[in-house]
Amino acid sequence: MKIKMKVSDLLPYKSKRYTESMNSFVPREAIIPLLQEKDTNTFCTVNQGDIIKEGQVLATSKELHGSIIHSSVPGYVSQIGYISDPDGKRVQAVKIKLQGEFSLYGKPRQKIDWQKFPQNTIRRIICDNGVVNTFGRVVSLIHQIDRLPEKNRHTLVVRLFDLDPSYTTDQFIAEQYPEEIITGIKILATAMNAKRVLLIVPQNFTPSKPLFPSENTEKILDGDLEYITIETDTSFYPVGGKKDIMSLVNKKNKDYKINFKDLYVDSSTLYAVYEAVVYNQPVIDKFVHIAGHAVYGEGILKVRLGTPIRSLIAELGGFIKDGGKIIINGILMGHNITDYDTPITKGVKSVIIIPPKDVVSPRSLECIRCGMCRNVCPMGLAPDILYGHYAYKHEISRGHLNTLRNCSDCVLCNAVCPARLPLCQSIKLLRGAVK
Amino acid sequence: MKKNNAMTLRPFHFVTPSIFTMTGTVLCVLVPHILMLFFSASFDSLLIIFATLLSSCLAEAIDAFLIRKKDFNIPVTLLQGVLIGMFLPSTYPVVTIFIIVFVTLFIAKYSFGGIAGAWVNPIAFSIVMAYFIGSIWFPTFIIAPHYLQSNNTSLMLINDGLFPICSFDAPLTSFLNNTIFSHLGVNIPEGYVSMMWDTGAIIPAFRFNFFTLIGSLVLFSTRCLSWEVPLSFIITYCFMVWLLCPVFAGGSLASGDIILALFTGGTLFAAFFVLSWFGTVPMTPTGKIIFGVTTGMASFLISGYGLSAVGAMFSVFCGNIFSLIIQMLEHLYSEKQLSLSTRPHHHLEEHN
Repeated sequence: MKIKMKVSDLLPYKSKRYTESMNSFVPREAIIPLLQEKDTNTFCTVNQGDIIKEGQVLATSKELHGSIIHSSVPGYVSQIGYISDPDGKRVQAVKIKLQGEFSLYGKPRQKIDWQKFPQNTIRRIICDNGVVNTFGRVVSLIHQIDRLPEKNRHTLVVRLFDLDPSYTTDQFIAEQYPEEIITGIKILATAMNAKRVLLIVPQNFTPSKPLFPSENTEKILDGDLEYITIETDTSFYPVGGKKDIMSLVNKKNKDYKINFKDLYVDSSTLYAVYEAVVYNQPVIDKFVHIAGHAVYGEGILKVRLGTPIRSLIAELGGFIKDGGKIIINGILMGHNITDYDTPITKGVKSVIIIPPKDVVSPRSLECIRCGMCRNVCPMGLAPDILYGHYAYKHEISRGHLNTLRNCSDCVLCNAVCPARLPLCQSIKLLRGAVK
Repeated sequence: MKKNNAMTLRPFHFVTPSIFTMTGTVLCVLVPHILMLFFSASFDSLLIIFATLLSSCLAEAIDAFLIRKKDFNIPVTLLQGVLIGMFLPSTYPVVTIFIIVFVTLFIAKYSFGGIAGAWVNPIAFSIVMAYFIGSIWFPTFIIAPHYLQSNNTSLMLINDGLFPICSFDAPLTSFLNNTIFSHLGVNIPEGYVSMMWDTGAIIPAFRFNFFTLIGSLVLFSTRCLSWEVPLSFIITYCFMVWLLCPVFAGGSLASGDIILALFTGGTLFAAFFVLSWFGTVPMTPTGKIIFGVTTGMASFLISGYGLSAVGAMFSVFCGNIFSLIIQMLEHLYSEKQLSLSTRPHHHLEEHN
């Protein structure tokens, strides 16, 4: 008997939905980390004192389709040093003092007829504009497309809601910018030569304009590209991870299956693809959901990359209570950082500031064998047994070890554990050790 | 500010209260019981509770600081001590019980270790040991068979003066009958309010049923207690009592007095505060329900109407043995499931 976890039981408050966003103030000094993606290396292409244009490349990778970092503001390089990034790591960063004229911000934009471009050109544009895939870990989108096995045409799986129910950035983008999202999908489908597009939409999805002109949106054919819309119940958790989507799709359909080799993207990524290809604009800003009971206001801001979290909080009216914890990318799936001067990067979708009274004690005790972790695990793992094996070297069967790869990292086991054991983290470490 | 903003692991909100919160809440809901003991001048019972509290702390301190070199778990230790004291008669010698509880808990901790290391409930184990060593100090509730044949035993016992009647019983009963029960077409006789308020037993856990019920509501509503074990236990026990109890005394079928069974012998107290002790219950919801049902049946066979001083604790002890079997079956089932689907998502990796 598996316990299905309701989002309303999981979150301390209901996550609000928004119909409009606002542009954040341009920071006086943008702090731009030179490493914003996983598994990549970049080298700095500017020096201290250099005059920088808006959108100028600050760092690039030695690889052909590697990471590229652009400046979000015009100015001069005031410092190149090390800062802690939103992942909590120490990384090299460029500090740019705002100065001079904007070349992109506020200027009239010209749409490019991207449909004339061949596949390779589209890929090049996506790469040059530094588009990353924020579906899961932040990785270079073009790098992912490059790694798709060429012998088959793949499925493009689009998630139009947020992985973590404590923020609503992706759903906001999908609902408020449906045209951009559909264009982004078309561009990406062309770039990867997709066979079909699966749109995973939440039950409460209310786009400002219909995604497709036809009424029957379940299955639409556009040339040889097939669009299939699948609805999922986001009042339960987890539903947005790769494995959850795979289970949902493969259970519902017999005609086709999806797997790890397909490409999974979210609304933020598609919006960035649209901006990159249709307007040739590098990734220099992004939508971020700022929330939390310690902050006066909350909402969706379009933030220049490199803006410190402190400025965003000030813009939303400042603190109304002592800030307890800064949580990046969700209460369930996110992580916490300690520095309010940490800048927004490509991977940040949400910043939640919770007051001290909402901060839970992380003190762990021994396992009390309540079985809650087993009963809630959607993948049928026994997290307590795996934790015992990892932490205390308890003997376990091969069967349990084989379940390690099924872990979807949803942290439900941690959320229900009265002993506050780091079950999910132990499984992740154990998985690495077993590999 | 710095302390609150320290780096911690995700998630940043939990669905269940922590062990500290759970035990702290249980301790809080036991405070009215302690206050009632104080106000009813039951100082012997308070002394017993203080002695068991001390022995529990001493056993934990030696285990934590000298043997295992771990943190002293204060809330669980306090709760354990209070609960043991609540199930002991006020006539029990204080020094003897201090030694018995200390030795029992120390052996349990040393042999099994930790909060949830032992398969046997440490509270029930201590009471059972105390009973074997000093059964003469435990009260014997022997009532005539004609009481048990009746379908309203509790009322007969009240009328015959076996339960003390509080001064506010008559006005409160009348008030309840006029304002609530009259709408339902029933009337409660005098004496039930007193039985809910204070049975006057020499074992504190058997006395204040009203506070036990209120406490259980607090525990359920704050998620400090899951419903499966206590509710399945109570329902099974009540059903067995209603169906069969008078039959054993030569009465008719399906006429047992549930109220008497619940409000005497610490049935409610044991169900809400002792039965779900850490590590002694099965892990799956189904297993927990089976555990509650089997323990309820055992409780009926051991203590019948609940008029037993240690019946509830022996039932918990039996339940622990059933729990072992249920946990073994759970383990076998889980291993079988694993072997059936070593890679439950193997189909996901097939290429389309």
